[in-house]
Amino acid sequence: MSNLSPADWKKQVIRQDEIDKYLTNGKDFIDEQQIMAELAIGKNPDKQQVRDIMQKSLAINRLDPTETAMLMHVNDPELLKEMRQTGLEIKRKVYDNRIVFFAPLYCSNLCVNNCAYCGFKCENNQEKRRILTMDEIRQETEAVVAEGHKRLIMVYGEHPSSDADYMVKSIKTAYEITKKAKNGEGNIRRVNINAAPMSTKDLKKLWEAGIGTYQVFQETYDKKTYSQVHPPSTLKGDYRWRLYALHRAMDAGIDDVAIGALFGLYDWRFEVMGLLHHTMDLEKQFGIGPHTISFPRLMPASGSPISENSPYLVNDNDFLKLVTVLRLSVPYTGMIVTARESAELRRKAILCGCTQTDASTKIGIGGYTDALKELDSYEAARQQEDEQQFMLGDTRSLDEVVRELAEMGMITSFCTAGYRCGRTGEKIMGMLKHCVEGKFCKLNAVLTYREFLEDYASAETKAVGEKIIEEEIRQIKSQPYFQKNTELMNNFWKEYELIKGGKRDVYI
Amino acid sequence: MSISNDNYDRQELNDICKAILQQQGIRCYFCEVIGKRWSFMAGDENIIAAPHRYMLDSKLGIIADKKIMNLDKYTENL
Repeated sequence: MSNLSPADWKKQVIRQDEIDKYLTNGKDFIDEQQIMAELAIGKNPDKQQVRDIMQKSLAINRLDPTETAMLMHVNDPELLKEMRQTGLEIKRKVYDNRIVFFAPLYCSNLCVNNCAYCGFKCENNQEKRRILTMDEIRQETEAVVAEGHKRLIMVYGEHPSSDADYMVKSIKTAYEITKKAKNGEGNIRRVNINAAPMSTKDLKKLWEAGIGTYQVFQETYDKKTYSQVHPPSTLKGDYRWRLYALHRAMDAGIDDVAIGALFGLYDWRFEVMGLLHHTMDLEKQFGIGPHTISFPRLMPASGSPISENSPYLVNDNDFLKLVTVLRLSVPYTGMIVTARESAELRRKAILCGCTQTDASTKIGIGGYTDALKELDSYEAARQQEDEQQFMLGDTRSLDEVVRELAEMGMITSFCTAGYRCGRTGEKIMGMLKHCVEGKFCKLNAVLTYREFLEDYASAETKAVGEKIIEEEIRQIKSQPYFQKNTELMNNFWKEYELIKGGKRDVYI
Repeated sequence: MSISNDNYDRQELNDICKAILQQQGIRCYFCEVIGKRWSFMAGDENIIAAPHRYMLDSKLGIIADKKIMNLDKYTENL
């Protein structure tokens, strides 16, 4: 934790040389005129052209900007339906039938920035400010582990009190937790981070702490809008410092990085193009695209009028369209839909090809512990508007969401195996593009689902969950890929039996 | 530009993996190990099942599709 005042701290954070080194002839990769020109191409696209583009996606090739723009211009309901079906097909090809779950853990809402749309902005006097102590992080992690989660995304406000050293301490604290479950014990196996851009030196500290993915959302790729919603005098006001945050992460050794935009600040089509150009620049400079893409929508936030009256708020139909287009455009990447969205919309987004989601989410600082303390009271069900960054659309428990997915025929995965077996960075990218990683996803989903059913599932969830496991095992037995890989399957069956016998944290 | 770990020479690690493949028919890759994380560094990117893992020091590991014999012989100069 830094002892500097926020004003002094701000001066020392941004390093111009760690921006300039990534520029091409002094320019960044967001060329607004070029993007507008790409968007203008292909209005009223030909049906066959669109179907050809879908075939390219199905072959797990990233689309070009003009192809992506064409998909965004599709308005024919039948063609849109085909696009959604293709999105789901791609997802199944690359990631199989599983949805990975995680839990966000908000560590601090102290923030030096003053972003127009955010409840954490420094001028929001309605926000109760708090930073979790290590004891509180321990309690929060225990509460999350007790639900059955294995993955965390730890979220921090940008402030000297929650600097890289604080993050490292909190990550290590979360990794240390072990909590007894019904038949085994639970722990956090992968900690991802959502934190403000930082220097390569600080990013190396996070890497050394064993983080999984480092996530930074650009919020908006439109430079004018960016400067309107992020006052230029603030740290976050530096567009390029943020734009190259993940490039610095790559240089620091963090090979799983995650991009995103806050949809609703500017035209959604432009933001999709921004995400694509971001992907392309990471591919160009490092040979690896983003591990995941997120597409949160602007939601009502305390003290933030723009969160309710922005002219660019995205309606449900356009939201599902942009999710579909991103799925087709970057077919190898993971896609995250969160509890910001209502249960109904989340279901629909998952059927467009999303791969990850959260459940039992509390985004108030100390929210999991508070909910446990007040379990029987009305307060527990209420979201704490004055301690949250925004309001959630879906507050159901993990057990309920796991059950719903099972009823939809999908298996929940708590797998963290890729990260534990060297399937990260360029290696996992290669395996995703060649549709090999999905085979591991299938096996590890079954193993971790077995753990969940043994340790955390309600009787109702267990009943429907057993049917899903049966079906997954039937598919595994019938697929030639698995029939040919005898050693892989021998290991799988051995580990499956070990889990039934009480052993935990085994993976392929 | 590429992701790099300052402490090891990727080419050297790739060469070790090639030697193990040629001499023992075993496919493997090196990982940087930090806590629970094993992060790919060098070697065979196309291994399917790799159930054998070895810690070489506190930060370097190797994952292989079969048990490697005399691993020390290949890694003693790292």
